[in-house]
Amino acid sequence: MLLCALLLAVILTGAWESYWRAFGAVPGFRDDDALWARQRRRVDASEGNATVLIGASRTFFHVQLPVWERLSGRRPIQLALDGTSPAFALEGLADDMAFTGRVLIGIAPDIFFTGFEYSSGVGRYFRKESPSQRVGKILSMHFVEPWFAFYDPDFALFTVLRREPWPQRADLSYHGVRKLSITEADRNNYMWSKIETDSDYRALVRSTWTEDFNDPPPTAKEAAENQRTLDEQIGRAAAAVAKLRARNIPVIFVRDPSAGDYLAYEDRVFPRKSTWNVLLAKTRAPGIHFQDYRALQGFDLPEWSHMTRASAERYTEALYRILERDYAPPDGTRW
Amino acid sequence: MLDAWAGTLAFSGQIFCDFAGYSTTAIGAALCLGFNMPDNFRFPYAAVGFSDFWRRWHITLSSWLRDYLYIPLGGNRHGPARTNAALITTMLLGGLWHGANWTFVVWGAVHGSYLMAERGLRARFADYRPGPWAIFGIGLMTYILINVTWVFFRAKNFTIAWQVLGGMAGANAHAKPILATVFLAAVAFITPAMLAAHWYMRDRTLESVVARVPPIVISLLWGLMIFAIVISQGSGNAFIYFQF
Repeated sequence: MLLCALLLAVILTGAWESYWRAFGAVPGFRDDDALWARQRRRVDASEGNATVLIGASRTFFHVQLPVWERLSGRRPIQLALDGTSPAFALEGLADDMAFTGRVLIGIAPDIFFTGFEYSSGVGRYFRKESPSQRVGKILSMHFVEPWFAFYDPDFALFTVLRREPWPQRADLSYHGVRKLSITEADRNNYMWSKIETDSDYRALVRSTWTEDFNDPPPTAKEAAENQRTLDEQIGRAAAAVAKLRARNIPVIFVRDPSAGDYLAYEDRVFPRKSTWNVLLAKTRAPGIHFQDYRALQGFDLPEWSHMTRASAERYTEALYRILERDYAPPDGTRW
Repeated sequence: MLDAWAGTLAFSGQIFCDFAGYSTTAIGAALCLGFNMPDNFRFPYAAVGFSDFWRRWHITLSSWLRDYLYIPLGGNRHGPARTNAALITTMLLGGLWHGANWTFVVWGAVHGSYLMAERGLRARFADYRPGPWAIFGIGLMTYILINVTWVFFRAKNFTIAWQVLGGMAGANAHAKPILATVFLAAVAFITPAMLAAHWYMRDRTLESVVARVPPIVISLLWGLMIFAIVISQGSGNAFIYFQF
């Protein structure tokens, strides 16, 4: 009986896998809390003097670790998180005496200045991860994730069901962010080629972003609350940067490129003068804004927020060369 | 009203599947090691009355409460007043066992009140022998009233609890919908299926039913269940009851 059941399950799972492969999916590592925690532990294990990348999805997509490694001779630690303000990660590094390296902080205005945290539980997970969770991730990374394309949160049964065209009540339709990237074992991450090649899918991703673009202007009360959040985020960053500076740890903020309607939205709701400029002034840290460097412009961002893999490779090289030219660490180490 | 009931019914199903599921997993793991552990659940949503519910729900706790609280407090051998006092005290402490929150105490108090009311009704209608439809009706009433208690169990505070109960009673007629159609559909499908399964299994054991079903059907069901587990990609979140 058990063998028959297993056989049936294998056949059905094979059919499910074939369906998602035909959709364009390829196996990749699941970017969950456990994968982030594995990378974060490297800082405390033996790589405290590494370059650490924190930020939101743009840092995650745009900085290609193999390119960086080729240029610097060392692979950085990627701790940027989709849709999540890096403030908590920055504070964690500031309080971690094992960390003596360099920090690059990616700033996506609508994430950082709102304090949005899609992965709000990852810091707690890192501190509280149980041995069974750790072992579970190791097993998954060896026996499941590299082999099965369907094993992705975007293709989970209930996510798929939620996306079906159900008759909707009021404005309760589901607009979750679709799968955008492929992640490798050390969290090197790049855009899924489907976004480049499938115009319908690309339009779907763009439509997810545009939902926020036409929100009505905030009321006076909401505007005051937004400003308070913004000040709080900058205050947190300033306090953490001060701690790092006291330990002579180089810190740099980077405003990655965005394009199209997304950039227009950011310019309108998070104008540089009242966000980015204030951040640099309050933290007294250097920053690289893509609009200030010709070498950081002209890349292909099919869905306005993230670059294609090829563009990200060129961008990483351009960014690294600027870092080394204009912001080389004073102690002679390399970014 | 629809959203309040859907949310409550969903939690009712979730807490059963969560708790009974991991109890069964523990029983199975123990059997693999040669230990025979007692059942913790016996299809509780087919309970007819609240004393029946507590003979079917979290049996290890209810047995402990009976043996170490209810009976030492006098049980049912010292008259109705003492019995009711023992019942309500036991259930209040049973509620408190789940956590230091007044919502749990109220949850226990409501269950204690249900049990007292049931005893009163049993004494009042001692000669009544319900037919099959009456049994089904009482069972359904039991399930609905159990759902009311889950509101206190789940709500973080009384403000939320009263809000949900108000919604269930139709007090928030013009409230904005909060649950998407897919969730309503899931509740509409899973709740009746779960209740039907509990009623079918009410006086049976899983072992006896499995023994009578043709092996090919069992294989098919197992295969589908394994497939559903695989493609659901459940996260590793802790069971609800781990907090208690």
